[in-house]
Amino acid sequence: MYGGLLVSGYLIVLGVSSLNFNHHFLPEPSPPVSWSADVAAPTVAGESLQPESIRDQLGLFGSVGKQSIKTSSAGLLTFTIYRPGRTYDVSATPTGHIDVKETRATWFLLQAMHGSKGSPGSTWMSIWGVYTEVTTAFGMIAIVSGIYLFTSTRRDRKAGLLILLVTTGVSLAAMAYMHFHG
Amino acid sequence: MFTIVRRIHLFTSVFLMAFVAMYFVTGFGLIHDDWFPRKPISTTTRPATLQYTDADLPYDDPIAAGEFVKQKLGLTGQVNPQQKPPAKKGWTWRFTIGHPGVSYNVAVAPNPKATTAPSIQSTTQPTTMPTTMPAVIKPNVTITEYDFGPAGTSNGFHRLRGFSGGWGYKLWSLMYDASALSLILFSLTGIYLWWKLSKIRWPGALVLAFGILFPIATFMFLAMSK
Repeated sequence: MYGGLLVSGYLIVLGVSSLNFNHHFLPEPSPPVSWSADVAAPTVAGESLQPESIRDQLGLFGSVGKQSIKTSSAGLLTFTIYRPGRTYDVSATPTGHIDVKETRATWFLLQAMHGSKGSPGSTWMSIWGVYTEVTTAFGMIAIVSGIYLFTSTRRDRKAGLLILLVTTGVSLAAMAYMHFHG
Repeated sequence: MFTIVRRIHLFTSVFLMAFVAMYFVTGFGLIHDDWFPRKPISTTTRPATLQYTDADLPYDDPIAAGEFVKQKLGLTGQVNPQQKPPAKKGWTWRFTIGHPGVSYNVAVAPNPKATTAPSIQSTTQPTTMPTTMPAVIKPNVTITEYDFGPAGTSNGFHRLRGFSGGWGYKLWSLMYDASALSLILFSLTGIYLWWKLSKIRWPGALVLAFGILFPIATFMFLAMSK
């Protein structure tokens, strides 16, 4: 019971975000906003600014898209940082001047929280990642213990069994159809 | 009231047992993708030819366009529910079609025209060889097929949604919606039952406070932090 109370909020996040995956009712992201900043460029000859260093100096967190990292012939470094509910398109000159185009998708945070196992550079999100693990483990334990508790009660056993059989049959049939038929 | 809520809790839990069990099991694979890699185990590319009219690939109905391509090219699965048209009319369409475990990326260029192969310019060819080849239809479609193996199939079922693709997919989406609603109801009715059944509430209240406040705080943190 305490396990259920512990993960009750996460289950609601999972439910709402899952509905949005299927129906897209949450508001779309806001138009991007642009801002600039300056960071310290490496003083050692031959060294250049790295995306992770820029991210940390700007006080941001999130993962740098490896595919997005590009350097022009003039030395302009461009890359994208992804964090839950936000993306930053960054361009950096060799001298450390940074232009950022930031896209916010506040309501999509619910989707980003769904199953998140953390985000580089954020302790808070690492704790959320642990909470994700706990919820997943609880979900699997609850299913097994739920079957045991269900079979030990007499009331509603027939109706519950019927729901269980129909749901299992339909989901297995749909899975078989999609796997073998395509 | 208590009996009704108890029944809702029981029946949603039974429903969750059957359908959401798959989500928790496949979700475990998703959050541990280093243990269950989801990269394709094989990739094949083949050309094809597709003749079509503007009505076959309606610009304002990309799903219908994808269904046409799927049928004509003999592919199976679901057109990506997020399918978009090309940036401009007349440009190459790029479709994603697939079912759990298999995905096709299909690039459909504008209609092929019967063309004559270019004249052979090489001076090393014998002079008796004809300088032009018979008319040929150049392929305008490239199909790239990705096979994701068992881990990718599991991931595919976890991420499967949308109502296009046939009865199996519609049924799946209905079950998906029902299970999402069940998750919410299961959680809310569980809190109600705990409140009604508990004589000493403070330990549960502490745990519940964490369970509710932590997701809210995380949302606020992500929304308000830089």
